[in-house]
Formats: sequence, structure tokens, C-alpha cells
Amino acid sequence: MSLSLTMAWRNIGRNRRRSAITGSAVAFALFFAISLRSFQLGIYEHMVDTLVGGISGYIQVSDSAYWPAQNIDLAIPENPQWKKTLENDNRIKSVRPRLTGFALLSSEKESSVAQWIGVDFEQEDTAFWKNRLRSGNFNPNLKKNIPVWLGKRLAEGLNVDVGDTIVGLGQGYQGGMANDLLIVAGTLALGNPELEKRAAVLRFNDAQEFSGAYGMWGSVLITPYQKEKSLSLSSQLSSELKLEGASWSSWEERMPELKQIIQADSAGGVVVLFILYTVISFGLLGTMIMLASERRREFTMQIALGVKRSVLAKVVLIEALLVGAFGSVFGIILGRSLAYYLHLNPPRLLGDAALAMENMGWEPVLPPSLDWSITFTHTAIVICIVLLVSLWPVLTVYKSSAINR
Amino acid sequence: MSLIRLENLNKIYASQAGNVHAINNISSDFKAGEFTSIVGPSGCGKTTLLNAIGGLDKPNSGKIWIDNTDITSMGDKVLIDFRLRNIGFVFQAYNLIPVLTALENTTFILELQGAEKKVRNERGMELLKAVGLEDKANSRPNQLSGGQQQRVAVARALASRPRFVLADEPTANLDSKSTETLLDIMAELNSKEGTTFIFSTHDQRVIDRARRIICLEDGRIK
Repeated sequence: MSLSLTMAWRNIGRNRRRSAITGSAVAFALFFAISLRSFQLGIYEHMVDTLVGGISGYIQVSDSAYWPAQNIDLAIPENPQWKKTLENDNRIKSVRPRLTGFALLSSEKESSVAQWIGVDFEQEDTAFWKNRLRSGNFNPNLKKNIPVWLGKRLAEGLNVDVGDTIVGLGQGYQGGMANDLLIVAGTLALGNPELEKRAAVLRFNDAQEFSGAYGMWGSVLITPYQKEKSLSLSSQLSSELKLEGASWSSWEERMPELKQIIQADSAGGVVVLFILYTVISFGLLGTMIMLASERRREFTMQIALGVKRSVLAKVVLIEALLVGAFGSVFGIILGRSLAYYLHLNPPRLLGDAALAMENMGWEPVLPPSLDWSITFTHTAIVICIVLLVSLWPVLTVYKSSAINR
Repeated sequence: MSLIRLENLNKIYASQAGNVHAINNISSDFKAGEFTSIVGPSGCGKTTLLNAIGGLDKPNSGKIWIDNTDITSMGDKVLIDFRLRNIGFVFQAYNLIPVLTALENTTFILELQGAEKKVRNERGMELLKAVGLEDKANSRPNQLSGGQQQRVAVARALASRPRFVLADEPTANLDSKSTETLLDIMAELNSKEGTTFIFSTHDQRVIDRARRIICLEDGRIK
């Protein structure tokens, strides 16, 4: 171990209380920042995933007038080759054609307006749907009738259960009728209360048959690996992989109000973190001022002996970095542990808060994000703060002379 | 030939009471191997003169030649390096580095000079043995008495075989026994290794052991 590192390491133990306070301040700042930001970004991810991921897509390819009315007459012709090209693109996680329309669903006693959604279960991420299945299964043994999986609130509204028959009646493709007997094959918890009240999921082929839109896609939903880059990827892909008669849009373009809500709320979190970092910075600066004034005489003596100021500054910086690193490790362990635990056991809002969230269209749970970029970003910020406040003793070193005056 | 030559040295401090002429036109020579005491009452300029010779403080006028090199014209960075390679210091308050052991303190300057670990440890142990502290090599300063700390400080000052050692009131905080021990050690190292020692002191026991005495009064050599 070099002399500078040895001295820095041992200096940490000289004033254990001060080192502990400095390390704790760093740990607390990082714990708080990671927890708060994980919660905030986790809630946004959950919102976006619920509202966008399974239903409208991070990126959607459809007729330019298709969204938001989702008029079946604006369906586009299937293009399997184009779809295959997309599936082979390493930026894209999944490509899911959808066909959607609206119909009146009636059980024996109740009727409700529903949005039917054609889903290709064989090609889609089956885990997405399996995780949402609350009753029934995806392989019903039906030969004549069309199976349907209802949002659980729609099923409750229609007062039907698995195995019951309902009638679907709505507008088909280009003036045709969409009507058939549908057998309830399962119920789905879609995470979005509004959607659960209106969604009726059909197999893709059944949806084409039901609506008469043979060989048509209503839209194609694309999920990129880097979901946060949907906007830029959408415009990039639209020029690389054109589809005749279709336009590309990211969820930010289709739902600007959702993006604005997230941005406004996120800004509030950033302000809170800014205040936290400011307070912590002054606390850390206080400990550095103490350190500098305690060591001033020592700096002078070492300069007199022939120690270069740069060596003394290096010792102080290494010491601050070591304390910062210890604090950071503790902060990361605490923050990540909490985020991980709550990700597995997300807190559920109750009462009015839950109702308010449901009214806004998403499930009232708060799962924190486990995105490592949150940890890296805030660790870097905290280390920068540590380095910044360490400039005080460094400046003291450079201002010290070889004798005490 | 002189090891150190002082030419018309002046140092003036500004104070509320007016300017203080701490060094007043001093010229002198120090030869290699000398064992010299600079003596005088408090405030006569002993420490100021020692600081100037050690390059710790710049005189207002005059020249200080060390081995024919004028240190008064050196920049701060060059002077730090010059001190590291040519001058050993012993301070009144020992000034050991508290986080280093006695051996590490002794070899501190050697390490800064880039000496290999084996070489510096051999030299460090040799000096600790010479000052009677080989069994305290791994002790930190707070585990040593004042006398022991000052002996380590002497060992540190001599480790890199400097051209000369400046000792500012080295016995001021020591009891009689520790003072005698320290003086014996320094006298022995002076005769064995030929190291030049220049003390500032008003301790009669140190004055008695010096082979040359320079008396200062009001910043002048009396």
C-alpha cells in the first residue's frame, strides 16, 4: 500500500466519530435518494407499463388516424415479412399485432359496452397474460364457440363466470356486423381498473373472424428493450422499417398528458433531492472544515519536512473518498434492500388515495423500480459532493506555509 | 569550505507595535560536521534564523548559500524539494505523524525520496537502534513518551543523511534524563556520521555540549 493510501486509511481512524458522522451522512443521503427515486420511478414504470405495455404498446404501428378512436375500419393489412424483420431486430423485445373494436356484451341479465382486443397468445409473451389470469385458463376445450377472457370488473358487471355464455354485438370491419356467442374462458386482472371494466380479450384469429377483418391488423405493438428510449427508437424505426399505409408513434406521443404528469411529479422529487443534497453538503462541509482546522499544524509541519502539497492534498482526497465509499456502500445496501423488498411486496394504497389512483386509471400499488441507473446516478452525485467539499481541506493544504505564523 | 553561508541577512516582521527586526544584518558561516548552538533570550531571533536557514521562511534581504546554492532565490516548490533532500528538522513539539509508527516516521522522508522499502527499513531500524528505540519500532507516537518521541524525531531527521540538521529547542519539553539521552545520541551521530547539527536553544545543558556557540541578541550576533 502506498504511503498516501496508508496515511489516508489510518487518518479515518483518528477521529472515529467524525468519520462515522461523515460516512453516515453519505449513507443516509444515498439511502434516501435511492429509496425516494426508486419509488418515484417505479410508480411511473408501473403506470406506463399498466397503461401502455400490454394494451397500447410502447411503440405502436397503425393507421395515422387509428389512435385514439381505434376504429376497426382503419385496420391495416397483415405483413408477416415486415413483422419477422422487426422480430429479428436486436433493439426490439416483442412485436404484437392487435385487432380491436367495440361491442355490446350481454349476459342473461346484464349488458355492458366492451372493448374487444384480439391477442395472439401463441406469439405473445405468455407470462404477461398468465400473470394476469385470475380464473380459467388459456386453453379452453371449445370447438364451436369463441372463447373470451373478460376483465374481472367487466365479468363482475355482467355477473358471469368461467363457462358462461355471453352475446357479443358490435360493428364489424367496413360496415359488417360483429356478432357471435362467446364463452367466458377466464377473467383477467389487468392492473388498470378502467380497462378491467371494459376489456374482453379474444384470440387473434377469433377477433378477425368475429369482426370480419380477415388478414388485417388493427395495430402492431412494439416493446423495445430500452423502454425509456421509445420516442427516439420510434422515429428511428419508422424510417428504417417502413410499413405501407402505417405510421409509428411512441406512447409519449399518444399519451402526452401521461408524460406531462410524470415529468411534473418527477420534478417535485428532484427538488426534494436537491434540498436533501444541499443539507447533506453543508453537513459534510462542516466535517471537512473541522478536519482542515485540526490538521493545519500537521500540514505545516509536513511541508516543512519536504512533503509536497500535492501529496498532502492526495492524502486528504483519498481519505474523503474512502469515507464516501464506505458511506455509499452502506447507503446502496440499505436503499437497494428496501427497494428490492418493496418491489417484491409492493405497498398498496388504501382509502381515498387508492380511489384517486383507480380513477386515474391504474392499480393503487407502489412498486419501487430496481433500475441500477438510479443507484449509479445518485452514487455519482454523492461522490461528487464528497469531492467538492473535500476541496476545503485541499485548499487549506495549498494555503498552508512551511511555518506556523 | 562552508556548508552554510549567511550574507547580510535581514528579517523584519510587521506587528501592531511597529516593525520588529527579528534578524538584523547577520552574516556567518557553518562548516560541515559542526555541532553548533544558537543561543539567546526569548525573542532574540533564534527560531527566525533557524527557519531562514531551513528555507521555511524568506528573509527580507540577504542571501543564504547552502553548498553554494542560493536558497533565497528558490521558488516554493523547488524549496520544498530542496528541504526534502538536504535538511533534517527536529522540532520543539516533536511533530511526528500520529498515524505512522516509529519506524514509519523514521523512514518517512526516505519514502518520499523514493528509497526502496528494504533500504529504508534497514536504515530506519539502524537509527532506531542508535536512539535506543528498536523495540518501539511498531509503536505509534501516542504510545511513546515525550523523550522517546523526540528521539524518533531525531532518527527521522537523520534517516536520509541530510547535509545538516536544524533543531529548534529540541529539549524544551524534555526532562533532564531525556535531555541527556538525546544529547548523547546527537553527539554520537555527529561524530559517527559527521552530521552537522545547528540548535536553537536556551537550555544550558545543550549549550554545554555544543562545540560552537552563536549568541543572538535583538536579532544580531553578539
